[in-house]
Amino acid sequence: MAARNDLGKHGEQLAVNYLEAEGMTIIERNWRCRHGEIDVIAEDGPNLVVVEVKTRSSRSHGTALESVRPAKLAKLRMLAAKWLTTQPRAFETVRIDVIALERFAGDYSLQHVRGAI
Amino acid sequence: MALVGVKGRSVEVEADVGNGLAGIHLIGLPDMALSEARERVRSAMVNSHFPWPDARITVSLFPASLPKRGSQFDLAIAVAILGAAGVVPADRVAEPFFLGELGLDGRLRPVRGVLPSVLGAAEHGDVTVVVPAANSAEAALVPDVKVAPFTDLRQLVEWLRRGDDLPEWHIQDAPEPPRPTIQPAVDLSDVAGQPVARRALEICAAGGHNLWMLGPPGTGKTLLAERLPTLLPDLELDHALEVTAIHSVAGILPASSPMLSRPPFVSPHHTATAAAIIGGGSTVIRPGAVSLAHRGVLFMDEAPEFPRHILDSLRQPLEAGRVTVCRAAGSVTFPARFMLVLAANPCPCAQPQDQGESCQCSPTMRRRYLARLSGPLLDRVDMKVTVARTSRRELMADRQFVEPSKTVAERVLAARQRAAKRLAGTAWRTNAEIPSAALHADYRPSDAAMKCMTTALDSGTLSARGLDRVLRVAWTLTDLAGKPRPEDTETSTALALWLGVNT
Repeated sequence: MAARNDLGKHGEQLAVNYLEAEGMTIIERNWRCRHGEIDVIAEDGPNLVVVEVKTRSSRSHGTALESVRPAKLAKLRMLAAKWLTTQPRAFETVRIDVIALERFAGDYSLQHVRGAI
Repeated sequence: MALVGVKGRSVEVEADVGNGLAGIHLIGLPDMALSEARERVRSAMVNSHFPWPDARITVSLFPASLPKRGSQFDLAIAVAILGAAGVVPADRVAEPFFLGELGLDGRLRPVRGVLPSVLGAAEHGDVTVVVPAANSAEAALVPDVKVAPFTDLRQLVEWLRRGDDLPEWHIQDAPEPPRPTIQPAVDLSDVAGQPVARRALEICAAGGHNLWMLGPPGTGKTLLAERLPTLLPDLELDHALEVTAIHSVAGILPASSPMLSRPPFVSPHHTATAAAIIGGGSTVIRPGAVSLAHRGVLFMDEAPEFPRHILDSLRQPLEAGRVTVCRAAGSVTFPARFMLVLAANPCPCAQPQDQGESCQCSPTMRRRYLARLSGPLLDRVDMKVTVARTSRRELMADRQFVEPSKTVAERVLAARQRAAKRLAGTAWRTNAEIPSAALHADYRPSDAAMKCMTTALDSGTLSARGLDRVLRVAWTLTDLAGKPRPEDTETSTALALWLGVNT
């Protein structure tokens, strides 16, 4: 369990580094409420970006990208609305991104899908 | 290829591998079996060691408005995805037609309706059709089409990558001449004691006419009807293709014989529904018994036991030679030019009536029983024959006159050839197909020969349609006798056969 948490944590850190390199500002990480958790909340210019980070150690159980199903995206959308109600400011658009990380021989490959919904 | 009735419509499959969440989206009105194609295609590709693109895949089937059903699109979808993913050169997959269902291990499984699909593909000119190896014999029946049979996806991809002609062992010979696949195990010589009915059967076979046999049980009505196919000649190539296409759509084509060269014999049970007889189905409209009997025999044993509306629904196909089935999914026209053979008992108790004492049925009961065969239906039956119970003496005496099916079939063939020669240059081949207008214009017997019919017409015993039917039978009798034109003998015999049973 601990190893899996570490993998996820490590993946999230890599994703945050990548997002910052892309010019986004991280607003919040691991925001939780009673309905679930948002991995990363970032700001891309005037847009709010809700990011789901998915990390896999191998492809033996399918790829990381395809493990994000439409139900998960619907949940993220709901969580984004919940988060926005706690905020005083408004954003022009809200976007949901998926970052898929896969470990190959100790190194990670990263795939970024913008605007999954 | 999508199937609409017995016609194949070509369907174009496009695949796009693009940015987005991984997944496969199938659009273009797929049904349940086709929606499941994504799982089959994915497993087949992964198990054949091809990369499955980790991206958003959109597969579109054109024309978008045509509902597509079934699993025969699996192969086309797989090839389209392989082409979009760059596994095979895209220009190589644009031309050929792909047909087949994929197994999870990448094997190509046979599908139904290959023949009509390939026939539809052939309309696009010189084409290559990729089919599962198990369907190759059926596909090869179509002339001027290059058939490329494969057993699994890997094999096909190798061929597409190499880009050369079909390997030597793939090249199919021209369709071998159709050979009789059903050896007649039954023979007309089995039926003794019914010379009139045997003669009627011969006329029926020679002209493609309809027949009604009325008689008590045990007199050989069923026996006779089952021997009718043994008298019929083999189907000609175009007819054989029609018949095979219908059976292929129904999915009942035997694997051993891709081409049906013998006229079919269909004998539905009297509990069959209207949809089973005429054709139907809520999503996929399938041909019914009348279409399966196309160019063959539809035998309805115990005809009065059939529900009335089913018997009456035969009236339209009997006249038109085709049947149009309308459902919510659309309307489909199936060919249905068959010979109708009806068999009936004279009364529900079916006890011998000639001895007098055993039958308990009242005249009303009998009339009601036979009234289920409606007037308009019987009006369309060319010949009506009473099959009487025979005594032992008659049976013994008739034994020396029975002829084997082969002898009679030769006479039938000769008569059919005479009719075909006379009808050369027209669309018709048997006397039963001649339309009324042509019958009265080109094929009208002399006034002397017509006399018995005009009298019957005047007295009201013969309807106008009945007159046409009698004329057709008269022409068949002429062909059997080898005469140039029907004379008094033929017309009066035909009239007697039409009037037939008095109920």
